[in-house]
Amino acid sequence: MSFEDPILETISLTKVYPPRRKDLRSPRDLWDKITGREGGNPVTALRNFDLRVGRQEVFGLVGPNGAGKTTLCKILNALVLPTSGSAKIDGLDVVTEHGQICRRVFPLFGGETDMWGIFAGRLNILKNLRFVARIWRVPPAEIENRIRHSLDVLRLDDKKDEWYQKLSAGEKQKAWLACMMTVKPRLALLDEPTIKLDVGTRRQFYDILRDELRDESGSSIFLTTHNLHEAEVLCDRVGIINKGRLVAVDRPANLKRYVTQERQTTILVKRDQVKLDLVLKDLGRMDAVSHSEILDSEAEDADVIHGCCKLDIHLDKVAGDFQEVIDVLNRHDIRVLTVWTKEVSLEDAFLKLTEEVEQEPEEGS
Amino acid sequence: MGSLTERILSIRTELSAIIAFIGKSFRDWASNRTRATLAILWMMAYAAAWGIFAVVALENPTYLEKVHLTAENAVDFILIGQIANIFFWSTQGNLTGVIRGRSFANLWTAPISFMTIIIGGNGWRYIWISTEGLVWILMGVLGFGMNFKVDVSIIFVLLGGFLVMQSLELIAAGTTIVTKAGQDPINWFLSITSMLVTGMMFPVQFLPEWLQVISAIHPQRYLLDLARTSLSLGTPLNQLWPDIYRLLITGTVMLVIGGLVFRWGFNKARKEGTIGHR
Repeated sequence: MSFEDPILETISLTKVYPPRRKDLRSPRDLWDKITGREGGNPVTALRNFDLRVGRQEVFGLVGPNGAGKTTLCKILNALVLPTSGSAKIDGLDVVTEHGQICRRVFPLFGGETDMWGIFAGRLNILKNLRFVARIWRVPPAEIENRIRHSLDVLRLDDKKDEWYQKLSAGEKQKAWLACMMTVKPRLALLDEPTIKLDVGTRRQFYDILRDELRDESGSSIFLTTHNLHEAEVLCDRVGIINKGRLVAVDRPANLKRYVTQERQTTILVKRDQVKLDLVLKDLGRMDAVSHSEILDSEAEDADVIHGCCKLDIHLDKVAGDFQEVIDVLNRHDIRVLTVWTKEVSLEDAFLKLTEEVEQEPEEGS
Repeated sequence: MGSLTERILSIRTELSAIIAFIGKSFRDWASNRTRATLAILWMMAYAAAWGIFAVVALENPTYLEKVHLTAENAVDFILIGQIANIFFWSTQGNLTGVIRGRSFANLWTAPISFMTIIIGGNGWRYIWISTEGLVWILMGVLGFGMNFKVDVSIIFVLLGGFLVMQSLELIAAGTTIVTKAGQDPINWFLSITSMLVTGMMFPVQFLPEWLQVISAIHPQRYLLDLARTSLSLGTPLNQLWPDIYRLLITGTVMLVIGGLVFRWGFNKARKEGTIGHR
């Protein structure tokens, strides 16, 4: 994966949509329209968005609703013109060289079903896929093999003669994915590609993206998603977008470290108040322990056995050694019954990073 | 040499895409047998109805005097006018229908040219329209004794008419892609007045004076007059040339204006992010 010659690059990409047109509900609205005093604020969908996606990389962009993900995908497909900045795919400008880019890219707008009207409702999947293959210039000799393979992998084989309009929402989405597999693009631009898929198909899809598209066909994959688990298990790197800004980009594991270096551990021990107070005192002297307390929750916590209690300890992942904590407990003759460790998830990182942007004042306010 | 080969290959690819479009549209159309059968029957019934109308309504001396200005008889007047109309109005919706349709956003991202999207998107429609024209000619000739003469002038008339009507369609597409309205004001006005003031059903000289003013600004009136004069009276190109010349100039100027309006509208919609919206 090289970032020297990225497959996708955006440089200070900014998109500001004009204020929404007001409905004409009264003579006053009409008058405001005529006199140009409609009001309303422009909507900044992307601001100074800088990103590089390497070749053969699976990159995921996650962000809350309205963060600017779909706008970015549409700009990359020249369906929306940026206000300033530029975006390049394979070194070509997405606006001025759109015609050349089309041969290298296959987009999928899973979130906006209206964006996929290319399939005829009264034609079966097979005929629709053949049409897409011809439009996307798949070598004629390979069309049938590729279609058969994609239908087979996506378990759509028994539906191949079914009219497209008779398929369920999930099956329709599978059919779109079959298009991508048939085309084998240099860059797959996927906007919420798994939104309607069941768990099994979703996992299958991850394998297809990694094994078939990236490893076998050498494709790069750029996808936007709400599903943080998907981003974590599928993507080499993840970018977090909020309010049009790229808040962070890194490997999922590194993103989690942005949030906290700590490991939160809960230990179930026999309740002995005197000894536990001494334990807390000793733990408080350890630099690697930032927090320790007895959780007095016997009544409502099903995990807590009668006569026991929980110790909550926050330990630095780098500087701390959990064995030292155990040693302290052993020293005071406290028997450890169970240990629970809570790792920080990508969801925690996402919430923290997006929260920080939410708290920042709006530009111009 | 390489560039020539590339160009040939590119044309081949675009043609293959157009054929794929037509195949898909035809299969989709044919998949509904009831709709397809009714469409064929409707086309024949419609042609017959206009033929009967010509015989019943216009075959009287009062009308014929004016009919003879552009056609040999009432049947020629009506049926040639209708056939020309089918051709001229075939441009209506050929851009708006594709651009405002559900598939445009996807097709725009496909490795085919904009022209291929438009031609491909309308390919089956044009085949259907040509079939319709052919059925009208057959029914006119065999059923009502329609008589037409073929002169080279008709090619220029059709070309000029196509330029004018396609320009109007470009304006319609450019404005409706922004406004998301069903139609733009110019085309809306021209289509609602078309039946009455263009001489489609009867010679425009029978219109009241105030309606003749509208008739005078309706391009379809001149297109129908020229088509009838060429096909029915067989007026040669040298006699029609002054009118055809004006038509071609007007059509070319309008095409440039239409192209600019369309480009403005398309880019405005892309700026506003409303491509694919309704």
